[in-house]
Amino acid sequence: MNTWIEIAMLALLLSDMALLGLSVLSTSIGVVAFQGVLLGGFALLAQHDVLSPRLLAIAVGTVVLKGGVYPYLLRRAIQEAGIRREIQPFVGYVPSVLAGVVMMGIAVWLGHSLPLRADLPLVVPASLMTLFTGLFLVTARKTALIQCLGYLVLENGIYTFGVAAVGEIPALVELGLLLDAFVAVLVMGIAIYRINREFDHIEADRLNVLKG
Amino acid sequence: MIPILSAVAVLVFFGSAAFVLQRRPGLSACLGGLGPVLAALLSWRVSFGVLLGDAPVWLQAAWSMPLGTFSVGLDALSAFFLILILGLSALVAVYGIGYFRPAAGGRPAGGVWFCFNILVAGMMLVCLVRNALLFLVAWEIMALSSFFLVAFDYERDEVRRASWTYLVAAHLGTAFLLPLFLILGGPDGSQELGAVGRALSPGMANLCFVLALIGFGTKAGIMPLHVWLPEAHPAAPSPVSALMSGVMIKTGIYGFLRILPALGAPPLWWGLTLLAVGAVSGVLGVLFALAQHDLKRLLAYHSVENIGIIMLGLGTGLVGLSLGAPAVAALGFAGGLLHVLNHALFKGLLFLGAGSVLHATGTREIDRLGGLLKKMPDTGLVFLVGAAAICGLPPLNGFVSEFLVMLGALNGIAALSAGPAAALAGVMASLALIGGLAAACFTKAFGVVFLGESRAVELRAVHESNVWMRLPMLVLAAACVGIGVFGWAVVSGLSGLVKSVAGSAIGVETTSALFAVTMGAAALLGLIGLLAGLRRWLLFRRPRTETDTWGCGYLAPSSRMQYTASSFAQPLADLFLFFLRTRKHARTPDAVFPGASRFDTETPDVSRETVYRPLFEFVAQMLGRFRVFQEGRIQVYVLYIVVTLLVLLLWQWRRL
Amino acid sequence: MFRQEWLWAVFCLPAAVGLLAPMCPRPRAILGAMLAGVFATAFCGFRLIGAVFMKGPVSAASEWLRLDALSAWHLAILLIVFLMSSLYAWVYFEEERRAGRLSLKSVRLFAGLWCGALSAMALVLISNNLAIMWVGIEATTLLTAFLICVHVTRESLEAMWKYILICSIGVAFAFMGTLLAAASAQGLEGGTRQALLWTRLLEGAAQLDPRLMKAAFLFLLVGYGTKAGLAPMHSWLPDAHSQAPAPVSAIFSGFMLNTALYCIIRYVPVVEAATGGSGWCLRLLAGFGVFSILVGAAFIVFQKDLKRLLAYCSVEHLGIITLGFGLGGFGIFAALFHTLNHSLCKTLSFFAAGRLGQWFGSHDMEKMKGSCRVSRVWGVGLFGSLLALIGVAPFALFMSELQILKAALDHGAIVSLVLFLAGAGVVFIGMLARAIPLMWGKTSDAVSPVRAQFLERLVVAVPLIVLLALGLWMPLPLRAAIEAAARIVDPGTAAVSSALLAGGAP
Repeated sequence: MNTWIEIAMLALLLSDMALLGLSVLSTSIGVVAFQGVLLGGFALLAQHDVLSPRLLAIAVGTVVLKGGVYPYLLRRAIQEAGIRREIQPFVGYVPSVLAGVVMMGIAVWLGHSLPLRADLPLVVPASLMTLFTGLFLVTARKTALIQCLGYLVLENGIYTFGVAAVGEIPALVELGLLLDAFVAVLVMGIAIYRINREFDHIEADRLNVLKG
Repeated sequence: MIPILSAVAVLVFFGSAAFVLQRRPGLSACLGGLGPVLAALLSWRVSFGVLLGDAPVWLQAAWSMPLGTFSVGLDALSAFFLILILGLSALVAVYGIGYFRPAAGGRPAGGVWFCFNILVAGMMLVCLVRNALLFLVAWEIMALSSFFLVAFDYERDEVRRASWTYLVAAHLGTAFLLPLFLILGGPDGSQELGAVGRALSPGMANLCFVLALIGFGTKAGIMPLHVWLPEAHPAAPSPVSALMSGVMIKTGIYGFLRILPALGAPPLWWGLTLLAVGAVSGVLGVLFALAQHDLKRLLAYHSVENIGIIMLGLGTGLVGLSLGAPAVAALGFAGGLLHVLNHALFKGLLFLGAGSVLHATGTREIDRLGGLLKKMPDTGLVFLVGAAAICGLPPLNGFVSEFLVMLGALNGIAALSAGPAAALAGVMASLALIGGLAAACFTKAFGVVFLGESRAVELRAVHESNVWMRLPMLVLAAACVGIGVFGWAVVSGLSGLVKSVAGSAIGVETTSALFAVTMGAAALLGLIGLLAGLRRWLLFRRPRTETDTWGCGYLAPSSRMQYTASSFAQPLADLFLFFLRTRKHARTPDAVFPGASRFDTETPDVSRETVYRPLFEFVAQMLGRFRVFQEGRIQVYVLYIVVTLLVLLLWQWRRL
Repeated sequence: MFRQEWLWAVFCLPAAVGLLAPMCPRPRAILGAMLAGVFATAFCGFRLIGAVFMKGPVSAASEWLRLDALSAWHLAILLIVFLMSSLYAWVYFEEERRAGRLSLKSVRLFAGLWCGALSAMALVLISNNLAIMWVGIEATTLLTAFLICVHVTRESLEAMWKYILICSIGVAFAFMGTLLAAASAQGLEGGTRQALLWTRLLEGAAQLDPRLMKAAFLFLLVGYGTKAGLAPMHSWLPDAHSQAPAPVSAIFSGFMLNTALYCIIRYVPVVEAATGGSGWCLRLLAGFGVFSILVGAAFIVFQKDLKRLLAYCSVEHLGIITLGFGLGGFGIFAALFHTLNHSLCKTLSFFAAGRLGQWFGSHDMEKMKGSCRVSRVWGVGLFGSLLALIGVAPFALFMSELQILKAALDHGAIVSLVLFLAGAGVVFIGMLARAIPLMWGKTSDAVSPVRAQFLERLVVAVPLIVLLALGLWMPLPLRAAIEAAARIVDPGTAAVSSALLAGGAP
């Protein structure tokens, strides 16, 4: 069981690095969808007890939402906006990947100093790395869509952390959380749609009229 | 206590009634003016009783506010200030009935009467309450109501600016008082002013002294903190200026005296600090007054000067107290306290007089006025009395208090060691200088405004004030003369108060000296009066003609050939140019047939121009630089959050 | 009797109204239904609050929902703010509709989201489960996002985007903190399934892992602090406040920020107990409070837009409240009192800013001069509330700030005290310099005087009178209520504060 989890975590780490290096939006969305599926599987594997209906519901919910619905929503937003890739990010792609390496180092160090899940050495670092990646995408890219994507990655990181660190949370709570994330993405999607309609672009960088 | 508290209630009630009924101006004014008069009638007996030796009154009730109790008390110190406040307020209120008669179509004055009554109530409460929380509330009510009074004429730009300056000064002063009162609170959380607080360490006591000096000094208007006075007094309606300058700024003195015993035995430097502050305020105040052309601004600077004199008195007293010289302490405090009373009388009188001039002519510019004595004899006469009193001339009241301070200083010079004695010699020197300059200043003010010929203002349109306005001024003038002549009696009447503040009473030799000097001066004055009467008798029924002033042979004299305020003050102002920084705008006659030439001066407040304005601008500029932190980039904003979190995590890592 | 049902009603009723009200055919009917819903919720809520203060905490749904004194106090403020704002929204949108700036669709959106926001905030307050509390906060963010751009303009869209993204990320951190808190409770009896119940967490606080709990608190502080507008996480706040329609700005400042702060405060007793009462988290709170005061003060000085100015003022006041909480003991009492005062006052000032802005056609303070000539009622409302906000006595804000100063002094926090006074001084100078021209300055000729309706007079007069009355006299039941709420945050120092509250005998 643990081996599979380790492999999933490695895949998560790699997908984070990929997100940092990719510029084509639709590919990035694909990577995030992949992460979603990975997390659904992880939720199933991480529990030691038998397969309960509760667990199954959550895993399925995760896969459907994170792996299916969100990417669909975001793809639609891309089509509306008519853009394919980020042109000039604040931090270029090669430096981004280098930063990713640094963040991974920090994540591993932090993960080992927190007293959590000593049996699965990769889980906490991977979750923290995913969290960092999400934040990096939000701060270093200009397109509002990638920021939304970054938020999703951040959520993925926290989700991994939650499953690893806490384990059992009442199903109602977890469904509430999933629902919230869903609404968040929906709201962001609608917001991007409206911004695009009003401004003819979705570059968050150019949304800087309000200052001081 | 009941009559006094009901007086406060009366003020609130009548003020509100005047506000509610403001659609009917006559009724509203009567109600508003009646409030302070009734309050004065209700409380004069108790107050005088306590001042003259009855046992202090005390009342405490629960107040649901945390830290607060509703405790009020009346001792000699409170009673003294209460009498002052109510007496002047009642007179000013009567004056106000005449002054605030709305012109047709003008704004109703209901709001003014409301604020006026609340201001009086606030001042009363300041003197009565014994709980720090309640004191601060009363203090702020006083500031807020007077702010609205200053802003009464808000259509004018400078009035709005002045009201801003005023409230900022008042509130920043309060900001220094807040920690002061909290420090003085008892260890069990009680905030009673009278109760013995926690024993203060010397450092703490010094801190408290500084806080009190700044906090109360801002209200009183000591020199570097006086900036609001020359702005607010000209902006406010004249009765309000009279009230604010006459009694409101004295609540600063009251607060200082109230706090002083709680700070423990005073070290010498407290007294010396007060002396320095007093000397600076006194001398610079009168110098700036000399250089002004706005009648009310001039009077405002004189308030600074007189607060300086009061501070000199208190400082002398404090020096005496800390060095164990009871005679010096008694004389100093007595002089300071009596000057509080005297200043209230003559400054109230002068502001009311200035208000009458403003009411009649519509201008406060001294250089536009002239020859008013012909049309306003009563106002001119009482103004003269006030002017003589403020210059400290015997046998008027200003002399009595300055004489006491002088005596205290003299006593101290004889009794104390060289250091403090030198400081007290400085007191005498500055008092002398202040007196001389004040005389010059009021010669200018009275001479230019009331004597000579009319200038820009047509005399024909000018009228004497109505009886509502004249009566209070006459009463005040009479009080000035009365205290001047019967100063010895007043001083012995205040002995109980002085004993409670200074710990020792004034000796008999002082009153007898005072009696001798006053009587001598009164005799001299009587002689002059006798001579004048003799001249009149000799000229009786003989033909007399009145002509213009002799123009040294020039045949076409005009009113423009008189001394103006600028030119009168110029020699003295030049002497002190270093302090005044007067700006001159002159075009001197230069050719054989000179063209138009002119000379005028402008003396803005030095501390305002060189300290406060640059400081405020500098701070605003520095803060303006923070704009770059909010430049509109969402990425940066998110980065702030992340960085905050990281910094916290790293900082706390070892402690986690 | 029906206390549990009331508890459900407070949360479900507005949600239902939010779903149903937009179905009405006409704008007036929609707003009317919304108003009725808010009134009904307030009725239930106040019954419940009364019961809590009289008889003790109410709980339902096997302890998942719980209302104790602390949350009841906040619920009371929430309901007051919403009642006032809903009444005001009625007046405000009437004018907007008359001017043709509001479509039926916008009214529907507004009414639905408005009631939804009420429901979400109520959920935050009544949930005993810390994760559900988080869900409520996130829901608040999402529901209120589109309220910002009821009027679709470029600026409002920009503000909305910043609001959604920044707050979502902040709240995600708070979730991380919630997870860490849950992780620290793994040793607890009943496992993590029960551990997210606040009452359980508090009972077993001594067995929590202090390191994880501290890490959790850092995340929670930054996360919820973002939503509460604590500097330096406040950057979304001026944008959102300035662009939202006035009723929305009013609930943002009046209560949404406090809701987030409430979430932080919920954790304080747990963290304190877990870390052995060392005052660690209180010091952090005080630090953030002071920093927010200073940042708010610095930015107030150069603002040109009235609503932005008010937004920075909210940063400052939230800082004051946080500082009060951080001082502990008597400071908590003062902070809770200040919460009420600030909410009342700030809603009123946003009301006035919005209403005057409708007539001036701008929120630029240069253009809004002389408001008392345009509308006496709103001019006085604006000036009065600004004076109260900058701490002029005898308004209640002066009292609560004074109490916080007292707490600082008793606590020996001299640096905080000096910085607080300095910040308050700068705010006073800066805001008064704006307030006087706003009230009395020269009006531009384009604006003609407007008469106010009775409802408007009511909305202005009631908060001002209440603030004035509370500044002079605090009813004993109110004091008891605040004391009860303060005792929940910091039970250890209740004795000290009650000694202080008794007032000294001579």
